[in-house]
Amino acid sequence: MDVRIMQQNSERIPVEELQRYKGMHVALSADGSQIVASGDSLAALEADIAAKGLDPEQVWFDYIGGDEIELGGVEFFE
Amino acid sequence: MMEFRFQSFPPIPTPGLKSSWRPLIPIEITGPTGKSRTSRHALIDSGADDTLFPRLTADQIAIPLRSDAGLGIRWRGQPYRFRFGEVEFALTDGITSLRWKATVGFSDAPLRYPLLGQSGFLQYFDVTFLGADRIVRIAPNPTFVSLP
Repeated sequence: MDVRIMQQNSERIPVEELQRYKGMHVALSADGSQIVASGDSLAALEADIAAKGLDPEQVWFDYIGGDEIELGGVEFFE
Repeated sequence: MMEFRFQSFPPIPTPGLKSSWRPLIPIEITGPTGKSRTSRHALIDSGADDTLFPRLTADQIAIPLRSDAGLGIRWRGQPYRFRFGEVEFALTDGITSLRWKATVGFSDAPLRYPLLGQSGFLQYFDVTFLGADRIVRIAPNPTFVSLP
């Protein structure tokens, strides 16, 4: 998969299309031009990819953020 | 040296909510059998001690995990265990490509993005964040050992 082609194409996905997947895990086609699978969780996304007969090694895994604000990373502990 | 533009978050314009710009980069993770997954967005997190991926990814690409050493993370107030495994990473900006071995943490925490922390990622690179230009530059440092 070509990262530059993906970046160029994915930036052209209409906002209206992204809105449909707000707060969801998604898979983009290898060329980044469209969302080809989705799920409420990563597990649901993997299941959708399998159900559609897609090759999970030929898609880009991503998350479409919602309105939430992230305030930082994780806290590690022993 | 590789160069990546910061990515807007959230990617969808929201009235009344200012977008943030984050150093999110694409990265491929591969297990010992050659199975892989590619994340469009992984977060370079200089505050994270370790590099962290979802546990499900380890299952999908058949990464043997070390025994539970009692390590954990707290994510959004909830504690989650994590276990380490050995992986290969591939990083490219479309011009330069790098592959290396790393030890990575895997957790059931519902991470939105993989976290590229100190161990497994930042330890091998000199990373420069250009805030005004919203660009991150990544160059392997002398500790980096490239895979063929």
